[in-house]
This record gives sequence, C-alpha cells and structure tokens, in this order.
Amino acid sequence: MTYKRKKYHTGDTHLKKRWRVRNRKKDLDQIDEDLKEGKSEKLLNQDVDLDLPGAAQHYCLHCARYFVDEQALNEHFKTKVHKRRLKALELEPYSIEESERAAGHGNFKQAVKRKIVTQNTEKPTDEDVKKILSKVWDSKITSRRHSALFVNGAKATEHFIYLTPHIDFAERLQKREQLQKVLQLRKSNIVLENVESLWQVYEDLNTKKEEYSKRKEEISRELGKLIKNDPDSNTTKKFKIQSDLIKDNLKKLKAPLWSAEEAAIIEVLKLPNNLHNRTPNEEKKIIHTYLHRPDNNKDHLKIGRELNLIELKKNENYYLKGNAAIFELGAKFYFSKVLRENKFVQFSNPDFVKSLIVEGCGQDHTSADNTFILHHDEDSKVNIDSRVHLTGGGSLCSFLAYHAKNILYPKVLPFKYFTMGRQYVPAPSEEDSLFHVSQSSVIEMFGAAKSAEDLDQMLDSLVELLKNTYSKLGYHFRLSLIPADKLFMWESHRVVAEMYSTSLKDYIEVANVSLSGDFISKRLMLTYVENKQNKFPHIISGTLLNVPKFLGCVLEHDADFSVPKLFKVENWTL
Amino acid sequence: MINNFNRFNRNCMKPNTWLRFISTAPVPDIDLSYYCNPKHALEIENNIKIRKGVGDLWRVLNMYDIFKTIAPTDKDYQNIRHDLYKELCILPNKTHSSVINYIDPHILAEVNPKKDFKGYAPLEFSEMTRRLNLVRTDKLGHTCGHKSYYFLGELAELEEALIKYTVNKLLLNDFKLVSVPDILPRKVLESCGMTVNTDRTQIYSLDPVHHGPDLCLSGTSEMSLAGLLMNTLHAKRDLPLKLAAVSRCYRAETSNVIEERGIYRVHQFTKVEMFIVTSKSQSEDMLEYLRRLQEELFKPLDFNMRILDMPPHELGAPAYRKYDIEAWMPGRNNYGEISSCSNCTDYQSRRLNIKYVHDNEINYVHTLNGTACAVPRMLITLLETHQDPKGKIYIPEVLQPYMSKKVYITRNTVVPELKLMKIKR
Repeated sequence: MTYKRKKYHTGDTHLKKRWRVRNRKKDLDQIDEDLKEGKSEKLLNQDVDLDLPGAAQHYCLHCARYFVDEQALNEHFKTKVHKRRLKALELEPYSIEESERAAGHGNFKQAVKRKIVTQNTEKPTDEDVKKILSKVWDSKITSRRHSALFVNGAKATEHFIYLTPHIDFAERLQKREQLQKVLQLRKSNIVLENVESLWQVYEDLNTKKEEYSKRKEEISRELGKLIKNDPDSNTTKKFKIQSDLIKDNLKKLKAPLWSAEEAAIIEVLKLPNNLHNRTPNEEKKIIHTYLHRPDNNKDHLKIGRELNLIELKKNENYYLKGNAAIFELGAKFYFSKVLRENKFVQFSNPDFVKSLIVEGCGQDHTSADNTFILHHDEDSKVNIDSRVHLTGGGSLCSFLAYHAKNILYPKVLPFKYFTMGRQYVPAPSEEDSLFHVSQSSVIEMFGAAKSAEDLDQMLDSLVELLKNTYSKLGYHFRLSLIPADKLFMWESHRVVAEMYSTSLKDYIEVANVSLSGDFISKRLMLTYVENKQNKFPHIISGTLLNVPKFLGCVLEHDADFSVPKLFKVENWTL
Repeated sequence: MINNFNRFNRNCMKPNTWLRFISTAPVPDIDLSYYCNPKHALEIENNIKIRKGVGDLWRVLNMYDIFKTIAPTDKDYQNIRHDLYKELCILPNKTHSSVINYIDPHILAEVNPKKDFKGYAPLEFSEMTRRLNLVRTDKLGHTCGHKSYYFLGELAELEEALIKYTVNKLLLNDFKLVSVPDILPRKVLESCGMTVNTDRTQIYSLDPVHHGPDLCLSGTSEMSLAGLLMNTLHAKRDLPLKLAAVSRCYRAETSNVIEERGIYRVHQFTKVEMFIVTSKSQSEDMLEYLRRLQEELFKPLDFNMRILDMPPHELGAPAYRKYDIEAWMPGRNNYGEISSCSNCTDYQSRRLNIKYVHDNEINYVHTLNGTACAVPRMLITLLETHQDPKGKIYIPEVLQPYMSKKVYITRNTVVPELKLMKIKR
C-alpha cells in the first residue's frame, strides 16, 4: 500500500517539498474510498468547475488528478506514474479493524490483493461496439449481408436512401407468443431470442441517445436565457462547456448506434409475416374441386412435339408455335376481358426492378435463384444492394415498384389492378418441362384495402371469380389453401388453383392469390392518410394465370388439344 | 468461415452447372469466293465505305492469302481460320443496286393527310398523358431503373387492343404465330448482326457470375425467331415461311436528345415482329409485300406517315435494303420512325445455317424482317394524332371493337394521381 523508498533521509529535498501540506493530494485509502461504486461515477462526471483544470471534466480516479483534456488524460494513462499508482492500490488499505486484529482482537486475516484497472474514460464507443459485435457473434449471425431496404450511417453516403421501412418489431414483441407460434408453424430457423437481444442493444443505445438529446435541449434552453442576460459570467461559461460535452457524447454515440441499428434491423427484416387465421397449419386444405382428374399417361412435351406446338431448347429458351402461341395470347386476352368486366384496372408494367424492391417484397435480392440479376455495365463499382433485376412486368415486385413510398387518399381504397405480362423466375431445375420454365406469360393482380376484413372480402370475391373463370374453360381444377410451412415469408395466406399433370401424377399450381396484410406496405412505405394519421393498407396479390403451366396441364388432359372457344381469335373482339 | 467457403464454392460451381447453350450456333459460312476474290475488291471496298466504314477488306485479303497456303493439318490452321472468319463476319452485307447512290432517305409514298388541328396547338405525348394521368414515368429511377414507364388504365387497354389488332391481321395474312423466349444465348444475337462483346453494348446481359456467361436479353424477337430456325433445312414448297411474334424487347441504349424524351426511346417495350424466310429468288418481292402489308396495317389507324427507302449508311450491317415508315407526330412537330422492314438476303442465314432444298440443290435462304407494331411509338403517334382540344383521345375505328366499343379515351380517374412521401432526415 505504500511507495517504499530505500533511503529516507538523504537527497529527499524534492520529497520534502512534495510532502508539504499545500501539496497534499488524496491519500491512498481515500482513493480507495473513491473507487467504490456510486462515488466513482460522481467523480467521473463532475459538474463544470472553472477553477479546476479542464473544468473538472477529465479526472483520473486513481491518481486523483485533473487533466485539461481527453488527450492529456489518455496520455497520462500510459505513464509510469499512473501504472505505479495502480500497483500501489492493489493491496487493501490499512484500517482500524486490521490494527485491532493485530492487537489481539480477532484472528489474523491476510490483506486482500485486488486487480486494479484504469478507469473507462467516457468512451461508450469502443466498449459498446465491442458489446454489439459480441452480441452479433453470440447470436451466430455471421453473415455480414447488407440490406438494400434498410441503409443507414456511413453507407448512406454511397447509397441513395429512397425510403426507410417502417419497423414494427416493438409492437410485434408485445405479442411475443403469437410471433413465436408463427415461427414454429412456418418451421422457420430464426431464433427469436437472438433477434430480441440484438434489438435490446439497439433500444438501450437509443434510450441513451434520447437522454443526451433531452439534456442537450435543456442546457441550450438555459444557455439561451443566460447569454442574453449575462454573456460573460462564469455560469454561462459553465453551460457552454457542458453543452459542448454533450454534443461530443452524442457524436461518439453515433457509430455504435448505427451498427447496433443495422445489426438489429437487418435481422428484424428477416422475420416472416404473421399468419392469417384461415391458413391451415400442416396439411394442404382443398376447398373446391371442379370435374374429375384426368386419367391417362400423357406427357405434354411429347404431345407438344407431335403436334408441332412446343420447341424446347432449354428452360430459358422455349418456343410455342401455331395453336399453342394462339392459346397463350387467347388465354391472356380472355382473362384480361374477365378482369376488366369485374372492375379491375389494367396496368402495363416495366420488367426491371431494383434490389430495394426485391427485398421489400420479402425475397433475397442477392440470390440468383430468386430473380435474374442483370450484368452491371457501368464503370462504377458493383454494389450488391443496388442491382437491376429482371422480374417481368407480371410480378408483385413490378407493382410495388410503382407503389413504394406512395401516399394514397383513403377514398381510393380498396382498389384492384391487373397486368398482362411476363414473369421471369430462374428455373429451379434443368429438367425439360413446361412446369418450371424461367419465362412465363402471366396475368398478375394487385389490390389493396384499408383493413384485414375488407381484404378478406376481396379474397372471397376473387376466389369466386377464379372458380367461375376456370370453370368456363371446362378443365378439371381444384382450389386449395397452402399450409403455413409452405408459404413465402411475406405471405400470410395463399389460395392456389391447381390442375392435374398426368406425367408427374401430381397437381401443378396454375394460379394463386396471396394475402400479405400490411407486411409489404410497411416495408415499402405504401401508406394512406386517415384522420391525419399514416396508416398502412393491406395487400392482396397473385398470379391469376400462368400460361406455360396451364398449357402443360391442358395438353395432358383426356381430350385432345384444341384451342378453347373462348381463346379463339374471333373472340378477341367484343 | 463456412459461409465464405460456400460463397467461394458457389462462384466456381455455378457457371458449370448453369452453363447452357455452349456453342450451339454453327460456324458462319461466309461466301469466300465473293469476299476473297480480288476481282470484287473494289466493289466491296466501295460498299464498306458507303456503309459507315466498318470492316477492313485488305486485312481480310491478306489473311486469306496466308490461309490459302496453309495446310488444314497445320497446327495454326484453326487459329488463322478463326481470325479470318472473325474479320469476315464484321463486313457488311451487299447493298441493293438502286439505293447505292442515295445520300438521304428517298420518300416513296406518303399515306393519309396530316391532321388539321384548326388553330389548336397539339400537345406532346408526355404532356397529354400527364394531364390525363395515363402514364407514369417520373421518380422511377430508384425502383425500376432509368426510363421506365407504366401505362395506366385505358392506355394499357389500348396497348392490348393494338396487339390484338395487329396479330389478328397477321394471322389473316397466313403468318404463323410463335411465342418466343426473351433470354437468349449470346451466339444467336451475334449471328443476327449485333455486337455483344463491346464495352457499351445495346444489349442487356445477365450477371455472368450468377447466371452463367452466355445469356442475354433479346433486343427484338427477330433474334429469338432466328434462334428457332438455326440449323434448319426447309423444302422449297414450304417457303416463304412467314412468322410473327409478340415479345418484350430490351435495349440498353439511351439518349438524352430532347426529341427523344418521354417514351420515344425506352429500354423495354412490347413489339409485334414479322420474320420471313424465302428462297433466293423471292426475297425482293417479299420485301415489297412486307412494305405493303405494313401500309395496310397502319393506314386504318389514320395518321400521316411516309415510307422511306433508306440510303446505304443507314442500313446496318445485315440489311441489303431497308424501308422505314415514319409517322407524323404532331405534338413533337416531327416525323418519328415507327417501323421498318429489311431484306437481309443470306447474311443471317449463312451465320445461322438456315438452308433450303430445291431440285436437289441446297442453298441458303433469304431472311426478311419487319416491325408490325412497336407499342410505345405507336401510342405516341396515335395519341398525338387523335387528341381532341377538350382533352379526350379518339380511338381509331378499327381498334374500337378490341376496346369494348369505346370511342374515346378520357382522363383516368380510377388510378389515383401519384403522391410520394418525402423522406425525413
């Protein structure tokens, strides 16, 4: 506990001077008191005192010294003086109790040695970043995938922020059981606890930031008053220094807050949508069947080749000839007529969308299995978060590229749109078949309503429409509900129309309608304003006709192939 | 680490598993006896000069001299042959004798009178559609990319009506409808006379790391149709083979010229294309037929247009002769090209190996292509021509049956006007 010296009495002039009362600093046992919790914090966050060095803002706890600025303090931590002091503080100070024990009261107790480390200077930066990183590490979220949808902090300079998604994780956490149930039903491998802990870090930092900003406001308000009345007084100076300090703190908080925010929100964005109460839990549920399934062993490719209708080079590359090509156009025109009669509004969409939209629609924009990514032709550096994707005009993405960041008037809701166009999805397998080609002609619909109830009504009427439209064609089909674990993460409910393929001995999805609630509208900021409040409309979307799949199934039907009457050229006019 | 490894793995594995269509296109069979005969040198040289000057004939001839002397067994034979054909391939097609001396396009005919607006200044397409809320083109750069557009409501219906009208007409003229792929192997595009590998290409291609190095987006269905016919042999009695296709076209080129603002030149559009395969002797008549057919198609739509016989420097490498149709667009106060048809003789068929048999003699076919309807420009022309001072647009009579008997396109009130959120910082 002491600095020990060999010689006490020779060459001690400088010591004598140091030991004079006017030079007295705190003793080691006093410092030991200071180190206790509560007191140390107070000492490290002292009020501004203009008489002390650095206005008492940079204090070394162990040496009981004030420094002029942070740099001086940090330099001091590296000195011998400081290190020696740490060493000296290791042994517990001599106390009355110890002296009593030595005098025979009680038993001998070895003085405790402790480990003393330099105080944390006010740097949340390093420490918190480390904490966040370790949290990220703990959650085993090792992919450093960035998001095209959520961009913040330093990346914002190189990446234009078109919109900021609305994050509703706090609200969803309030119904934690429900969320947990959804994850379980979807057989998702997301561990909610990990996401929560990341979110917590972000929340904590955010509260801290808010505290600072609040104090900053208070101080600047005070300062404003003071400057008017008494610009040169000491109190004014004090406040000035305080406000500078808080500004500094806020600045230092920025970087960790950014990384915490990014880490948390990227994971939150991966969470799937809630489930609709009609969605079956495990098994596909059939809700409607029309006619009987065909019973034969036809193969659509063989028939297509025999009748010279299909020429399949590879999945990216197939040709429909003669009646098959007329069938394609006719089917599209038939559906478009039916939809127009049912008050759908026609759109004609572009085929390209940016990564932002792809991620907004709940797909992985970095994966080549989801969308075709175009070659980056420009001289600039490739940024995986702002690529151009070929999805086709007949896709949900294309409709959302129109609606992202859109503010609607409440009176336009509900609306329903459709488009006739292409849909491009990279073929999942290389096997030749019309059932998984990468390019399809489709009829795609998109609608929005104010509430979930309105949306259910839209779904019901759309299902009726599908029943009618497909029934008129005279082919066997059935409608079924897709179970939770087969849904895409953005869907809450999906109804599909399926036709039977005799070559695969299985049903093929030729049409679908999905509900996604306000999941996508929140991500892509499709809003409407009602009673001066921003609200998110509920979205329904779907591919009402996928021509190649439909054609494949029709070719495998019992009856020989012919263009249905409703698709014929003479019926294109009205 | 595992993740890293996967990524590494993925990058190297993908191309292997995704490589498709490798070398499906044949080696071009170029007429050596014509191009490498010094007797024709002057003629060819002249042709190159009047056609933008692409190609180096003397280089070809020098290479040919070396090529002749070398034995096919020599190890360099393949290399030299390859280089020679590479040079040969960029030489342009021959030029029709009657257009050789043209400097400017020659106006062959003018169809329909210009519409008299009686003192009313006709609006330009973008201004008109903005007022009627029929198109969205603004603020799409960050969601769909540069120069994207959405047709809304009745304008989208008009697009559909145009396609129906055109396809119907073509089917009545014995065209065979084909549905074509839009993603094509690079070789097919090159064989059609597009340069793909230069830095600034007109062609979009898919990301080589993700989707394999060989896939491009077709710039016109002519390319897809040529891909369908590649390596085929036809009987004389099956010719002429008339094909038509409705497809999306993707073009990477853009321009900032004020005349081409709005949707005049766009990256992606729908087009109905005609493609005809004929025997050697039929092709010139067939070009006239195509031109007449286009006239027949466009005349009932009731806008002023002129038919041009294009001069050599406007032809592009594959064409032998080309007619353009320019429509009068009153809003821009200018003519704009809405369609063209060209005769490529055997330029494409030699590269794609499309032949026909006649009396036991095998010859290369001649190919022709023509636009039946390129939607955006057709819409510009129709809307600008048929606008009404009261803010309606008249639908030409022939299109009305395809649009549930509507007579006018009016202001679109069903799709709300666009209002975008401002981002808060």
